[in-house]
Amino acid sequence: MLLKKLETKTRAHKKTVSVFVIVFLISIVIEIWTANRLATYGEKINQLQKATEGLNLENQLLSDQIAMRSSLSQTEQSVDALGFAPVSHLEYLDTPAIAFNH
Amino acid sequence: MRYRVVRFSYFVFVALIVIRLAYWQIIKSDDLIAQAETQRVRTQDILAPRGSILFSDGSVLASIQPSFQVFAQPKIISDKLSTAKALSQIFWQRDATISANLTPEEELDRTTQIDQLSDQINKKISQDLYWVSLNQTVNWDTKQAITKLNLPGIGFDQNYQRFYPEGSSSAHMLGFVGSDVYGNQTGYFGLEGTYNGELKGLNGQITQETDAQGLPILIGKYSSRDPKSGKNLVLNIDPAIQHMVESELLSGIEKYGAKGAEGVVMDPKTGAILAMASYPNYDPAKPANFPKDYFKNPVIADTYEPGSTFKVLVMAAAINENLVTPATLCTICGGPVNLGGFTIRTWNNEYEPNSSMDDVIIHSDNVGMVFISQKMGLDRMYSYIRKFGFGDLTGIDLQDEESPDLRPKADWHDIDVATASFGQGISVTPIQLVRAIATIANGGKLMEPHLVSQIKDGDRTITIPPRVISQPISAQAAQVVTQMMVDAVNKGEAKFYSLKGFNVAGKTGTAQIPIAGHYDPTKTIASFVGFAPAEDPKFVMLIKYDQPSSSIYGAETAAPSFFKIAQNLFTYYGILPTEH
Repeated sequence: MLLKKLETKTRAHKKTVSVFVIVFLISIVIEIWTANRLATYGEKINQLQKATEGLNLENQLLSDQIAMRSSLSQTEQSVDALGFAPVSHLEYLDTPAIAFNH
Repeated sequence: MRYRVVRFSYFVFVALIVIRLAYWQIIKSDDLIAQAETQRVRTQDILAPRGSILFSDGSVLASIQPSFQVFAQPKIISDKLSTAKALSQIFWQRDATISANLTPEEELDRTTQIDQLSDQINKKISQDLYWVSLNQTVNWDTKQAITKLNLPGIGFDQNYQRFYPEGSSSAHMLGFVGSDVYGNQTGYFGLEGTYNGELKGLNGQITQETDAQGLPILIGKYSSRDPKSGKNLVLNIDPAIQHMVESELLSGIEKYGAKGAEGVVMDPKTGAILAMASYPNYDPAKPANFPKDYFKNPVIADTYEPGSTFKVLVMAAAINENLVTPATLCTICGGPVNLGGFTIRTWNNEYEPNSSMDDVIIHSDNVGMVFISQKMGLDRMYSYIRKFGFGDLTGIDLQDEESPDLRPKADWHDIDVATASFGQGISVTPIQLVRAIATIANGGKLMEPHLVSQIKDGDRTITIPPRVISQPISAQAAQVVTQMMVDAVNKGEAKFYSLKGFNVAGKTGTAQIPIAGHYDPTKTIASFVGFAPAEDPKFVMLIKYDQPSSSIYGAETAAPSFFKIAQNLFTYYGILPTEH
């Protein structure tokens, strides 16, 4: 009876150890997998940081281009090239004293 | 014995190991931790861009553009000669204005310059160093051209530099950005200097743990401080008006053979500066190419004798004191006046006995002004000069403003009071005169001139309100003098340029330049100051030419420019003539 009890206890102990070993092995695998994934994410983070910097730079360059092309000095050159000339004579129209019916 | 020796040696060996370990782990602990941190923790500065300076309509006057400092890593560069040659070609093309058809001499010159540049670069990259700056700052396009060459060991450090879409427009008003003793970007002169604290940003920083390859670790240590961009300044300067004034001054300098020119347009009711230009100026993007004298803004720092433009202020003071009216007759205007051993004449040596005060302003009569000065006396004259703001800074938001000292009252003699009445023997700056004349246009109220209307910090906007300094004259006196100035335009020396149907109040000024104790009869400062429409002034403007050679008179140089700009301003503001 005592021997049987001892045998059952040893079997349960072995089972517990086996579960621990399996959990431990699975944890190691997960850890390796996670570390591996994170190592790849480092590269991705780097790429994202560079992409952000690149987009900010592009935004600034485009803003500068807009400012340059809409500047008065640039507009003046463009209108000259298009053949516009300054107004040499102004005519003012009288506002009639009465209202007209449409 | 042998056993003892072995045992002793063993203990010595263990002791040495213990001492060494203690040295590394206790004494050098902090240094080693720091070294380890630098290997696995990367700290990167994030540049904060300098704030922009914007016109009143939000268009850009000064902004930033990315720039790239070129560096080399000599240990990585295998073919140094071809790298130097390739870079020198690009750097030379960036700096030079290339003509399509080069003469043989120019071609030789080009080759020599490129070879010299190539030698300089080769010397730098041949040094036994890991990193060397090539001292070349390039823009995006040049950076792209270099990148395309795929040169090993050549890299770029990004920075920002000032960018001026309007070129050298408003250089004196803007100032420029340079480096301080610590190599940080700092504003000098003009708005850049005055508002440097607001314009400069605060750099950010990212600290993150990295792996052996220098890549960031996702679950590693990470901290960041966002960069804070500089604040943006919104000016009262209207780009259209600024352009009108600049164009007219440039053409006026050429037309009248002047050495320099200045122009200021101000809203008399608020003190807002709508335009401010002066020539010769400099390129704010390349200040190092110009002498230091060019950096001073003549509108706020150059002093001159205002001449006849000052007469309207003395007249305003006399009317405010009820000493004269426009109809008061001048009892001494029949001929020259002798005072303290000096003879005072009219500018054309023509005399009108019993001229009215209105005539005195219309004909810019120096003797008539002496008549007023005698009625005013020293105390009142001095008091009004101070009340109109002369002798003090105007308070304009530019750091380089200067104010000529007013002589102490005790040093004034009768002749000084007399000559001051027609703007001689007294020095002013253009901004002081514009502000004083604006008092007449603004119902007698003296305003503080201001360039910046708003400071924008992200979503927060600080608006700078107009500031009334004082009221030197009454609204009634201002109205009377305004009409006298309208008469001066319509009937005076500049009547040929007056605009039909528009009420412009103005006054010409031709001031001789004092040189070595006497006035040079051939060199003058010609100016015209005025405001319009006289009944509800939208602008007050001063146009000034330094030493014009085609004519020495303000009526023939500054007045035409004034009226040309005024005509454009009427169209711009949509102001219609009262008759046409």
